[in-house]
Amino acid sequence: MKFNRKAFEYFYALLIIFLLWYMISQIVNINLIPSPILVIENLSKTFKSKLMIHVEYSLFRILMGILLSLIIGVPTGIIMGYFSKIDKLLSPIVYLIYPIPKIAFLPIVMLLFGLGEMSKIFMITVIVVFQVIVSLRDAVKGIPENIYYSIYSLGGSWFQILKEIIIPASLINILTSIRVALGTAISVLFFTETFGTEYGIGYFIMDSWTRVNYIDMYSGIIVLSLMGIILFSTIDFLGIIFCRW
Amino acid sequence: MVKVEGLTVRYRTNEGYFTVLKNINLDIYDGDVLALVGPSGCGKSTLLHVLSGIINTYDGKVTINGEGINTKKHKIGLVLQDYGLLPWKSVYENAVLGLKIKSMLTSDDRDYALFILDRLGLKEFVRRYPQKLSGGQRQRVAIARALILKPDILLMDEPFSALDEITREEMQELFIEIQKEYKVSTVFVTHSVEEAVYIGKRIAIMSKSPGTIKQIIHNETYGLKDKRLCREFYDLMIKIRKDIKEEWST
Repeated sequence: MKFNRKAFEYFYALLIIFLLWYMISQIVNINLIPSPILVIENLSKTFKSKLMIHVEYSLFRILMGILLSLIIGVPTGIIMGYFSKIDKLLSPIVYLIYPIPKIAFLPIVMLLFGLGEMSKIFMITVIVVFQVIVSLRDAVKGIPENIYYSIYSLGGSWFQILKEIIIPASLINILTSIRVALGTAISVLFFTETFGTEYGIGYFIMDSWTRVNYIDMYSGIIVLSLMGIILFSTIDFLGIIFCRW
Repeated sequence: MVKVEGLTVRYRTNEGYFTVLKNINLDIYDGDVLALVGPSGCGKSTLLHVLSGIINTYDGKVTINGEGINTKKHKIGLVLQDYGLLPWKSVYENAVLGLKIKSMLTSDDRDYALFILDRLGLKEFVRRYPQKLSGGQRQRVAIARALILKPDILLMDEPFSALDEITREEMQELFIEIQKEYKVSTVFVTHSVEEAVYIGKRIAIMSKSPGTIKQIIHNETYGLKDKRLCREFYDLMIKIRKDIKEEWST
């Protein structure tokens, strides 16, 4: 029921967007805005042969970046949220670094980690990890003290408190933080893929642009957007499965 | 048996130390039902938190069956005013949480849990989440969770005060029945003299802050049927009200 409605909503939104796009392309009638029909036709013909490899690279980078951010960010956020002494030590550092536009360090990162996958994944991780830390820390801080009481009185260990209370209580925030992070991660991904690589959707889009192949370029944009939508709805889906209460 | 000797609890504040409880002496016998009555802010919840092992910095001595409180070893059933259920766990998972924390669940444990849940009229709700239950039902889950643990002591903090009047009387009745059946040693905190006289075997009256125990009354009406229709019930209430009137107002 819930899924059917979601599917319908996506379908409806796509229809409206394509309709608008089609109308604009017909009205302005220039190469820069081709008809969506031509783009989709091109996409269906060339996706496997031309685009698939780029999708694989981009997906790998983004998933690795998010995975690393979670591996580092979730424990850090939980520890900062639960132990206020550690929070007092780390918070000032996190708050100072958080708003720095870390993307500006891309040239340095590329010099340090090379032009390969490492520098791209590192860049995504460095930007996303702070969002994860901050939202997890706030989530854990927001758990009311008396929720812990029953487990304290039962003599629960720190591990049991973590498993029975902290993780389930902040699970929805973990998912939300990934969702927020995803938008950022895709932008960062696009930016990093415009330098020093020949693979990735970002590269494909910029390459098509320099070749003045606008139909290819739009195909790339559609694929990048779809990637975002699919990742987004996967997180929604996980939320429905894991946060049933 | 639970023994409290010379218990004093202080909180640290910006201005120094604030004494919440002062020199509390209390014995809770096996099968006892002790009602703690006191004005708000007198430290009755603090006393309960000490007994439940949540607060462990205090002066004095608190023992369960001759040993200092050890939350890992002793089985402490805690029922809180907001029920203390975990919203992400179903009724059944909440009910067996105590056993799960203590050790692995055996199939006997599961049977016993379902038996108690059934006894408290929760059989049809075992798969529901707390947010889909009424206040009275949540309260029953919290009591079931404590009972399933077969506790050394059952501690209840204002257990019925968030319920509407009809549900409250039902729950009080149910608690009395269950207590008779299982003879669990119980300490419960209430601000209601009526509730204390209705449920308690003994009634401990506390002073205003810093909390001390003023007197312990043996409840003659304990075990009477249809108490709310008996003169003795009201006589005792009036007597206690008179006693505390001066004490709490000054």
